[in-house]
Amino acid sequence: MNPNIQTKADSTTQLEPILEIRDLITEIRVPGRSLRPVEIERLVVPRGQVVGLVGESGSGKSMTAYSVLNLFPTAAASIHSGSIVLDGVDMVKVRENERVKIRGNKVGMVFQDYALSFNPVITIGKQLMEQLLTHGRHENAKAKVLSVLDEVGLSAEVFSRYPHELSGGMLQRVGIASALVCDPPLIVADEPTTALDVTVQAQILELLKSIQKERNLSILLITHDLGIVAEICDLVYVMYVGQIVEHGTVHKIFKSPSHPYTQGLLQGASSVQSVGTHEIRVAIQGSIPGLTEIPSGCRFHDRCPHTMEICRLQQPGFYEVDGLQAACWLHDAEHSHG
Amino acid sequence: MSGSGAGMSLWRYAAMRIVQSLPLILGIIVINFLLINLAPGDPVTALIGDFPAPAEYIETVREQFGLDQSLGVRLLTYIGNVLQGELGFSFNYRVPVLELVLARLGRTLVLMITTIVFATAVGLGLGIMAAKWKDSPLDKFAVGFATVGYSIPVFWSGQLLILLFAVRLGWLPSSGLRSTRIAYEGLALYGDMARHMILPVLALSLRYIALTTRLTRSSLIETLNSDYVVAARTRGIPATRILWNHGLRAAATPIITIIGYHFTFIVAGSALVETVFGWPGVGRLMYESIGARDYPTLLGILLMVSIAVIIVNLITDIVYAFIDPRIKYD
Amino acid sequence: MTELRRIAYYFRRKHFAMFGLLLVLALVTVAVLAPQIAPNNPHAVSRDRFLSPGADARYPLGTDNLGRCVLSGVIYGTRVSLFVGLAAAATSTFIGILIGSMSGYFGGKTDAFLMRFTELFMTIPRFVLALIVVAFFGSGLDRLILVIGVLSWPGAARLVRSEFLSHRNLPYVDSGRVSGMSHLRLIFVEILPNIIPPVIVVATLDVATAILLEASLGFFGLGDPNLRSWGGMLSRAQSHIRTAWWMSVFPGSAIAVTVLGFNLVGDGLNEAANPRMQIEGGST
Repeated sequence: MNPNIQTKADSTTQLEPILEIRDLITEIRVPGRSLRPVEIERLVVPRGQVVGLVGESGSGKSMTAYSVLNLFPTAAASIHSGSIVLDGVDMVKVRENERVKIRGNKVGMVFQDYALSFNPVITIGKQLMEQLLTHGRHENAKAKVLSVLDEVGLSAEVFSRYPHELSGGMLQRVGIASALVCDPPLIVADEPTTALDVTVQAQILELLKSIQKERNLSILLITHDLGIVAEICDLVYVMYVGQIVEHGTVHKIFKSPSHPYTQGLLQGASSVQSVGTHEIRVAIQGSIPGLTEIPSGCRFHDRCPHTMEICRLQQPGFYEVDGLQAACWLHDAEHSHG
Repeated sequence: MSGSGAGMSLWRYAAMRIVQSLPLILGIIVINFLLINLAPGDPVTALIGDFPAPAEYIETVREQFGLDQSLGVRLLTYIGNVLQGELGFSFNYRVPVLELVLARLGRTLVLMITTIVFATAVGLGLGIMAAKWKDSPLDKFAVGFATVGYSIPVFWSGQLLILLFAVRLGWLPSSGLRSTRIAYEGLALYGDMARHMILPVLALSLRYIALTTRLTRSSLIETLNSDYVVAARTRGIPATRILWNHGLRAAATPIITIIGYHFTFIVAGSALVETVFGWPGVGRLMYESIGARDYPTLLGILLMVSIAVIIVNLITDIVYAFIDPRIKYD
Repeated sequence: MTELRRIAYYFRRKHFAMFGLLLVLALVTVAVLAPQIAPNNPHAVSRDRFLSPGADARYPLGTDNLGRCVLSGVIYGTRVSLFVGLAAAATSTFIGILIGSMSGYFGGKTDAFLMRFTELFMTIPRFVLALIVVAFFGSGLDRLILVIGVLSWPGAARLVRSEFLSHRNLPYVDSGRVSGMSHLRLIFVEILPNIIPPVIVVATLDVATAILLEASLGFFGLGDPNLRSWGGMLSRAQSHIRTAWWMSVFPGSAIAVTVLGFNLVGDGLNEAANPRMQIEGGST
């Protein structure tokens, strides 16, 4: 058995990565027990690259996004252990009052529910100003807000508008503006286009792409839409029930996925895109298990078409397969049958 | 900050609400009219009160209110009289009702406004702390206090305060507007009156504080759990700042609700409290008028208070629209 | 049935709701058994005036200015308060259901008119109007119930209306309409049973405010002259507050405990029926 985990998939960059997650366990305490929606051994976002994190709903993608900020919508969730080094600062170790200075300043977040991400009774301008001023950017704050609104394709008039006066597409542009306003090196975008109309989706995606290029941004893009991944991402991490099962460059993943789950995802995606729905229909039997019923061994074993004895007993490590990293026993020399 | 377009629609909204209030005022006048005419016996009794009035005066009233005419004509006559500020004459006090009520209004307003300011401050503070430290012992105390305080009738809390602070401890006066034995002057007079106000204000405040605490707490908890607050935190806005900037803006709504839409409650409350503490305001006047069967005074108070309530509700709606920009577009 | 079970489950878990329920049940028991429990005839005057509690074993809570037993007055007062509270709340709920269902079901002009009418009744200061009506028409028990009931329906009407608005276009109503059911049948047989839980919440809270209103009228000397009520007892206590604290403390506690009981049950039902909804309490 030779789990050679440490092979560099991100050798494209020599710089220190903007985000590196290691051995992260996020837990949700419910009465009587603790659930673990996220257990990530390693996830890296190199500088200036767009990293996709894909998986079905329920796979723990959004919890991963919140983990990056070490901030959760519910008090029941928290980080159990691990490290999340964001631009040199470990978001797990550092004190809360330091984290507050990082959120919105060193990392911007874009939400799926753009309609819910702004206070309905305060103007857009005031809310963006509040963010700038909170992070100590007092100089030319208003000019900065106006220029960022312009950057996302909104007129200066939006400054004095209330959220309910804007369309969904415009609000999501504001969402992106808010993520950008403090010029962070990293953006975490959680399903940024999912709730939008199909035509608007394309525009927002185009906007993200051009801004990324212009600013040389790093983006962690969380999505269930493989079409988006293909269009914008450099690297992909595939997530299943809280764990990464495969990662590598977009090109290689799409060309020759080596994990059975990724293979299923891709087959489903090609059949789905023609229909135009947004749900991934995995071409795999069964459905994703809940956190209370996580299978032993490889978490995918009861849905996998290639299940072996070892899969039920033990979790696989990562194996390098044609430049991809896949956590699957099929690629273990001892267990695979060729 | 808002453009001229938004400003226009606020004015338009205000104008619309004012127009909508007119039928309500008419409705109130009609209800008063019906009360007079449905009262047992001669409507004159309701217009004069249960007094041995001189026959000439009864005739004058009959004529003035057109009591020999048909109901329709009487209604129009009545509306005309009310619109001219003609609310009848109190035989008990031998002054026109309008004059009588206005003379006492100031004292009632002092009581009500002091209560609103005091109770809002305390209730807001308690509600904020309860929401901020939800499920803490402080929160449990606040919730318990609010529930119990909300269940105690104001006149009984008034009596309890008298029993404790006036009878038992002898710290504060239990009744009246000012001391009768010592004639204070100047600043000391105000101090004396303030001392007389403490217990009535406390009595009237209890239920108000309870209500404010409850609504502040629940709206703040709801706000702090809302998506936009989570989103604001991801932008790095510190929790305390969110509480003050976003939370309190949301808490303003229930506060305005209480001051505005529960205005009738404080009117009733002050009537009862004035009676307990012998505070010579409009509420005490109501109590005295019932004893004296001084119906014109009671009806006049009803009319004036109802119109005051309509005006306060109107202002409340407009303030709402000012605070929450979404309302105008409904 | 499942609804009931859910509420029962909730009440077992939330002690405050259970406590309120026990208070209400205890008060109902006291009201029913008043003749058996009360040590004296509540109306019997005696020469033992202003006896303080404990001074005479025959009057555990003392006597008032006419030498009447305070404890017996408090016990019999339970009957008045509960009867007026429940009957007035039933009246106001009934009117509220009638007006609210018409408003919400028919919508349009009917709704607009009925809501203006409701707004008018919400605007009128209830306490002042009740005072005048009772002063005019007398303060018998029946009239108190009617006045309080007729002045308290707007809350129920608005709730019923909003429930009907959300139900009127649901598939089961549509299919009933298509199959030719009459409006009356749709309103009262098809829709109404589905909105009972929130209506009960409002009705319970209305009992509390009705009891407060009855006590307030009694305090102004406008209770039923033939019955001893808590409000009336407090009115009398006011004149003797410096000498006979017990005349105030016991009837006042009785009001507070009763109102608290109904408020707790109402809050409990409210949270059990809909954890996120908060119905505001009414006002006196």
